Amino acid sequence: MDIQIETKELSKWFNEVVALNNVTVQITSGVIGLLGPNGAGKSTFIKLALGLYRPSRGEIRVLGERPRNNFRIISQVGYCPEMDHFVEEVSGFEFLYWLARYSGLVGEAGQKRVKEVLEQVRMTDRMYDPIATYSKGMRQRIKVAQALLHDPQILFLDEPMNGLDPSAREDLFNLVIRLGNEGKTVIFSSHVLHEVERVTDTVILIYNGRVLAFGKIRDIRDLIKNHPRTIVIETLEPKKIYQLLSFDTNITTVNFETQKLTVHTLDPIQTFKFINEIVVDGKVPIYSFRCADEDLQSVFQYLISTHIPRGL
Amino acid sequence: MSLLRIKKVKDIIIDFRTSFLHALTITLRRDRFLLMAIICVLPVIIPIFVALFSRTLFRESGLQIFVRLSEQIYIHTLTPLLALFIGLIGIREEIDSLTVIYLLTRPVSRFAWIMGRFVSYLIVSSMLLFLGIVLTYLACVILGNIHLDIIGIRLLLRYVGVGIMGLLGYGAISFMLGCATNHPIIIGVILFFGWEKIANVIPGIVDFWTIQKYLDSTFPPLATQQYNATVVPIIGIFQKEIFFVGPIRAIITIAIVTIVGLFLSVFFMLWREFTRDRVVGK
Repeated sequence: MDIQIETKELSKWFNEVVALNNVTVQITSGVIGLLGPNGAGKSTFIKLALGLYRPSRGEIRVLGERPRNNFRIISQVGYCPEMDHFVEEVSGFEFLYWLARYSGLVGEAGQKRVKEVLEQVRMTDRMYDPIATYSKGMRQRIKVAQALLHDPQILFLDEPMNGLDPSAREDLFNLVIRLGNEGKTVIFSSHVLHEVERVTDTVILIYNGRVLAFGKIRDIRDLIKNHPRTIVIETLEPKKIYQLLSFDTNITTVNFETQKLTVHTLDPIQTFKFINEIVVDGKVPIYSFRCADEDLQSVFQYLISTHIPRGL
Repeated sequence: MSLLRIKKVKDIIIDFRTSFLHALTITLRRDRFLLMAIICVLPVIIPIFVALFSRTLFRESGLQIFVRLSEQIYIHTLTPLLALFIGLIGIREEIDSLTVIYLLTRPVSRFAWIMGRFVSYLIVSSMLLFLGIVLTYLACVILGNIHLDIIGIRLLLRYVGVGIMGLLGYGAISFMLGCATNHPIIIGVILFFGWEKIANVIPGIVDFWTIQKYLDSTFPPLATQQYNATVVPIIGIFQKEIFFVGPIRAIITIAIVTIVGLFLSVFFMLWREFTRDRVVGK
């Protein structure tokens, strides 16, 4: 088993705030999803793996070595940060050109490589424009490009889908899958479950600085399948809608508000099916309906309250 | 020890060149560079104004004005200002804007990075200082008592040399502050324009802990008497004595300050954590 990243009782705290707590994992090559709500400790984990932070306790090894100030390791990792920081007045090409030089790609080889990665992220047409003029999605693509410059063995993508349009998302999904198939290790951090599902079936679940689970997504799906979902339906006649939905035995509780109906269901797919039928029927108008707690935060809270032993 | 995983000399030279050229391209396109260039040539106006508008018989000679501008304006004021405002462009801007994260995730030698930045700052600042002092010198020639001859040019070069020494010492301290603290400009202004000025009011005691003390020790002795062959050797020796520190010792001290400052800058770059997360909270 080719262990790429290994942590033992890894903890990191900033003053009194614990960002990562007693994490022990072994990550092998392939695409791994790092899943958790905002502030869970995903970025801290990545920065510890990149050597940007010193562990407060425990140990982290990347490719068998401690990463901090270790050029051998740094030259084999790429990092796409979550935060949006650039030298705004330079062009995307120039930004990447200097980073390529810092990665040891000097002269024409560097310029060629920059153009290659810009091609990969489809930014060649705007590469000589100042970064300040780029959209959020374009900036995101430049961040991904700089992470790929030196063809790293391990790639850390911290919330890479932020701000990307559907076409760019599709491109990035395909790129991540391709890199995984090529034998690279891609750590794909996200707080959106279905984003991670697109690229891998293996995830690390982080919440409140702790690893809650590490394994296949289907196992996590099994854990949360009984999670009651909240569906909000906007309509002029909430009581009539409830009458129509009363056949759905999955609905556990209902709340009425002015022009709004909130239902809790054990099987959201079935309930959505019923709602769709009402919409198609058209007898009682429904303006909108949405799942109010699709985000991971609520899933994690549910997991904590039902599946995670006390004290973890 | 991860710190011991050092790079090969060839790689360090490549990193140094990249850092130097990168810093140069950043610095030369900054508004701050243009502002400092303007500030550096502003003192030229003074001798021109004196030449054009001063009608009194007691006006200062060109030599006196040149010496005063070189010592008080260029060396005591502009060198620390250049160190803070040009020196910190290459290093602090990256840290403040968090673009340093891209650099820290590259296999670039921190030593080479700091040195590249420092040499870039030194060259740019020296050029500005040289330009200012030379133009001031030429303007002072109009006023008389200073000429375009070997004595005058030697005096000019001496002040340029002292200015570069100042850029070295103040620059290394600025770099160290840039790497070690979050508010280097504020601390630098307090140090260079507060502490240094106060400490030098009481010569011979705390002024040993200032850069200015050592720069003053390398000033040309009796600079305003450069054309008086009798006075210079005699009183010059006396003047050197009252500074307590000779020029050689002063040069060595500035060199030590520079080396220590740069060493500490590299140390802080390796030791500090320059990025902070939104950390987990309740």
